[in-house]
Amino acid sequence: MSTDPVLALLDEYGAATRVALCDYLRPRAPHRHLYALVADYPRRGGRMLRPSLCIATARAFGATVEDALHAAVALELLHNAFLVHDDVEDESDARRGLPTLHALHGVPVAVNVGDALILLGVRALIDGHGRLGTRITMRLLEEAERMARESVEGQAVELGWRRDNAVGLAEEDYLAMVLKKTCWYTTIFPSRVGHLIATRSDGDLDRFVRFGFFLGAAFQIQDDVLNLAGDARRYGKELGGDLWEGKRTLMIISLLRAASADERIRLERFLARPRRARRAADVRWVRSLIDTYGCLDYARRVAHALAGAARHEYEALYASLPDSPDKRFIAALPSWVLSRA
Amino acid sequence: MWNDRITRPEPERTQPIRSWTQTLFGMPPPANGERASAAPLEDVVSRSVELGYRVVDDYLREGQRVAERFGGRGFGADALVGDMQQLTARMARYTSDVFEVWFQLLQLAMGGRVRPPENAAPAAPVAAPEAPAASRIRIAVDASQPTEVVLDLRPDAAGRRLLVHALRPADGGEGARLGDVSIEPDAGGAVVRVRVPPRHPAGVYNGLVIDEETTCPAGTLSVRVGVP
Repeated sequence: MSTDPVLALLDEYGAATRVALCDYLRPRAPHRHLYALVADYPRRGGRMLRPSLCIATARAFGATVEDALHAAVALELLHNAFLVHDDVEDESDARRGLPTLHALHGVPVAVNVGDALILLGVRALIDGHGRLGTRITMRLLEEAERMARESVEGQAVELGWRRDNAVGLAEEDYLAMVLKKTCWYTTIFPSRVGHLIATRSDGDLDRFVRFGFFLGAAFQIQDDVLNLAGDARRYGKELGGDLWEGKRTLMIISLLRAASADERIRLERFLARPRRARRAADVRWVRSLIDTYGCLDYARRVAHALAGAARHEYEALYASLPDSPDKRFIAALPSWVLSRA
Repeated sequence: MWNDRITRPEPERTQPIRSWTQTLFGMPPPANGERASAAPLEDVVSRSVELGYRVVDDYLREGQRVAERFGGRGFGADALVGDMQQLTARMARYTSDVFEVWFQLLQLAMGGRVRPPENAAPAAPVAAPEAPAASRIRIAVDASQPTEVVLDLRPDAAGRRLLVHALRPADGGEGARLGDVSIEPDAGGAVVRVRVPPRHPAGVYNGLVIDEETTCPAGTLSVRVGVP
């Protein structure tokens, strides 16, 4: 086991979640076109950040691993459902080092598998009823509905930008989109749910929105940076895929602002094309322009600033709790999200 | 002479200024041809953190505003206890109010032939829940048959723009609806208009009252049409 506080708990809570996840991924009919594929993405691995954050938050506030396990499983199932659907919507080719589900089996089958993963996630939350009782289970379902709604709203904003070829975006537009699309299901929801399970009380759950936003936004920006400059073997997704997909990342938004008038016109034309009409030479040109104008360095600085704010919000949330491996895990997350390669 | 045509000057900008930092603090983002990373590190950090707090605080404020408008609450213990207390108080209040309105409308429909029961006890005083802004609802009935109207509104419906669709038979059948119903703004409140066509089938007709802005249910309208 790793001595790094983050990696150690990701290993431990990830393993516990994977074992519990097996109950929901057992072979059954219809096997070939549904349940065999439902198990595909979860079995490709993953860092298990979301379930681990949920369990760690619950434990830091006094619950047991078992109390939070159903919610952790639900998070992983819902996360994989979103990945399947996102890959279709983004026309992505690779996920966790392998072809995406729709690339292997076609869009209709992949969309149906995503739907099934969502339902299994809801089932996992309901299955926690015996341990958590009716009121908390209802609250968890309510939180899950909120999280899913925020996520699809964020996804709609981003898809709309690409569809309408939005080129006048500001950084606040990007952060507001990331708050909904990424932060809610990656960091806000796991934290809120962990707190809810441990304390059986709503408390001031908005505090977790601030912490989760800064942590999740730093995570997303670092993810976008890795998409352009990551290690191809470790990244797992298509390197440069965001450029092929025309995603409005912080780098693209700052590039649109920094580029000369002629470059901007060419860039806007590039972004206006559908993915299949983009050429490799144009993608390389955009990538080199990002380097020319220092957009990667700029995005890294913004990510560091937001991670610092996450650490500040952590102090406000967790300072009064006794020291524990879980508390140290959460404290180390802002630095960890930036150190990912 | 057409060479001297007056043309509109090119505008300085063709899009709104959407960067609040630029608007408030005059801190422009990297200009054309300038490296994005050229700004001093501390400027990027402070601007990003300020921007982040601005985005998340705006989001939280918007959420609170929407939650207040929808009256949405969770399943927390406090909320459940509060719900039960409010429900009890509302039921008692509505029961007494409804009987009074029923009687007045029956009297109207029967041409004043109905008298209130001699031993009718006055409505028990009930501690009203936190009262929303006062709002007067007037009910106008046009019917040749005995007709009772019950309007049951949520406390937070006061002052909202309401609408009601055609009322359906309460027995769930596909029989004739009661379509000539409306809620219109009136001085200081609203007026509910119900017109029962001659020889309309007797029965109870129900419909949802909808908040126009949120499209959420704001109450129910129930009309009992008697035998001619």
